[in-house]
Amino acid sequence: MKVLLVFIVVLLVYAIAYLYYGKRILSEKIVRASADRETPAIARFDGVDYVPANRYVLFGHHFASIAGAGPIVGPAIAMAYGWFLPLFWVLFGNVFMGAVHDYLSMMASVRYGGISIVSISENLMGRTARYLFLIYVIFTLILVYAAFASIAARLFAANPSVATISILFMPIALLTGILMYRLGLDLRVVTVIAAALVVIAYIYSYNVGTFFGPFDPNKSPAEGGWVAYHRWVLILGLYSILAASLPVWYLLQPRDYINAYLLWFSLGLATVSVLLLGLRDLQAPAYTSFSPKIIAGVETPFWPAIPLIIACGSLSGFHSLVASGTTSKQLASELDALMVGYGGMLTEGALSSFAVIIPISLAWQAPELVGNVIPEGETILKLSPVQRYVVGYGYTVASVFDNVGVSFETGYKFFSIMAALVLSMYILTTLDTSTRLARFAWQELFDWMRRYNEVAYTVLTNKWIASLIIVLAGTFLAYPVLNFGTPEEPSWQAAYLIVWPAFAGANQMLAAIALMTSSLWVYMILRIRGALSALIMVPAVFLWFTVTSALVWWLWKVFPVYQAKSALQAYGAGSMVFFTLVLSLLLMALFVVALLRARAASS
Amino acid sequence: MASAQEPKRMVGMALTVIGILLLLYAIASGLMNGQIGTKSTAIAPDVAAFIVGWFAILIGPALWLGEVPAAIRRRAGRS
Repeated sequence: MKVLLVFIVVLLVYAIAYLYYGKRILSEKIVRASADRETPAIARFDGVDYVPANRYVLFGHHFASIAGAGPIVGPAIAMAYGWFLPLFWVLFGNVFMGAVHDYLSMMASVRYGGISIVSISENLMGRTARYLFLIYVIFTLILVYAAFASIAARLFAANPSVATISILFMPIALLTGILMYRLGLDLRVVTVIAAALVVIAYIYSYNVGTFFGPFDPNKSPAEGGWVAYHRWVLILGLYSILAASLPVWYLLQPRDYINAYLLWFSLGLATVSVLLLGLRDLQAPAYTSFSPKIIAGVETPFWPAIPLIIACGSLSGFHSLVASGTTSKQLASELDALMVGYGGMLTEGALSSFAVIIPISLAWQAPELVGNVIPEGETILKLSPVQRYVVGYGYTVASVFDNVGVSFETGYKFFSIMAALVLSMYILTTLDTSTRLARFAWQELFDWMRRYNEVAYTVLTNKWIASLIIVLAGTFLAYPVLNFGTPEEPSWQAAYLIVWPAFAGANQMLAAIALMTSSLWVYMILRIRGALSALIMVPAVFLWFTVTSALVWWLWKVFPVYQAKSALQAYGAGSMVFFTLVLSLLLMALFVVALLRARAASS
Repeated sequence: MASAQEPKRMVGMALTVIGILLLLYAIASGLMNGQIGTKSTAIAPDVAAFIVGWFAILIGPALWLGEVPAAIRRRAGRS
């Protein structure tokens, strides 16, 4: 298959989806977005969380928050199916579920004054649903915090250059915010200054790493192998409390604005490279097997297990929390939601398609890589998922530069390191956004207390105290390092990994519940009926059914494997999957009851 | 009201200046040594300066220039 053909198909799908489905159907016919309706950022302006933002600045925040490592790692793992099925799931899931889910969560939140999708569920499915949903969300976000704190700490300890650029990036972001808002400089001038400073910081960091003590993951913590890791976990905890409590205009908006340019640059470079290599054939097979061995070495059927593998590139529940958490409170106009919410999600899909799936398919068994990066006789699948992305990206861009006189070796080294650094920048954003979102959910969880004890409510929901509680809980899971292997063959890992294998299921169930809540909002409040209503409700129920089936499959097939390997992990993750399954059944029951009541009321 | 904000502003200004100086020291040290900090268990002065300076820079301007900028107030329709 020629690269150019796949490129054109992907581009056409996204263009039609944005202009026809997103703009004509979702924005104009279903939500009826209007520039005249005041958004919560204006109506409830507080200078901290409710602050209107320029739509390009907000796009940067939203995209950087939802991206993380998800749109890269998931499709890279799914390449075990060949390139066709992952690409199909990214396109189908993105257009009909993921982008719809993000856009409707954002708009429902806007119409409800900026409250989260969780609290909206109370209006549609009752109080029980709301508190069940809130507890679930806080638990999931603490897990996200723990995972990203651990990944970032390990990344900084192992790659000192990444630590340097990540630290230098923040003062540049603050300066950008001051130039933009305080001194009122033109956005284009600010962008040029920020870009120049980021390039200087990148060159500096490339040459100067930050070392914070010894790090050898093969040694135990008692032998001093994890000193740097532990220090970074504590520093990132302090950073997260600060970043999640400071006003959004001060750090979050300018930082994510710069982040967006990093994304556009890396995505643009990949897209142009893929286009210039358009006459080449994809080297990966289009299809390998419906059930290759992926999760825990078990044969993993594409359906229903695919949502457990590909999240952000296709759809992710975390997005509904961002869309109805930080983003909806910064939207200056309802019309901006199409670009930020629907467009942001399509961009994630484009990232998965152009920077991950196609480059990995090109680098599959490339002669330039076999023997040094890829072992002899093997394919790129032999590498870890992050390495597949880094190698695929570096290979694709370097192949283009090779044609204009830059040697492949030089180009490959430069662009593969750049790919790793760009990835690391998103991890910090996700870290403090998840803390801020967990704080919102925590504050909403205790709103009932206000009626009984005003002082206790004020203390417990104070932004600093709420952030501290979330970070302490996350650090409790990220800091300890345990032996997941045997005494003879130890495998030292952070404690959060006990429950992490279940995270994908929890996150995707969250997506299903958020999409069902949004579909109820469309049906009950916007009073949309017929085909337009079905367009939202059918994918929502399909997603719920798929994820529920995947969780049952996990308990049936994957749990016994973990049981044999590590009882700690089996029962930690197993209990979380079981809890998710029970919760999903309860919420589905509440959804059906609410829908039947609405139908009875309207007939 | 303005006088109540004054100590906060002063602390913010001091933190900003200290933060900038500490970061510059760490950056210069990195240029001279090829790295910031060490792989040994003891915490090197330059890496300590890098981290403390980083936090001072994060907090300092927020206290110093803490109130919402006029540009943002205007966008929200506030005077």
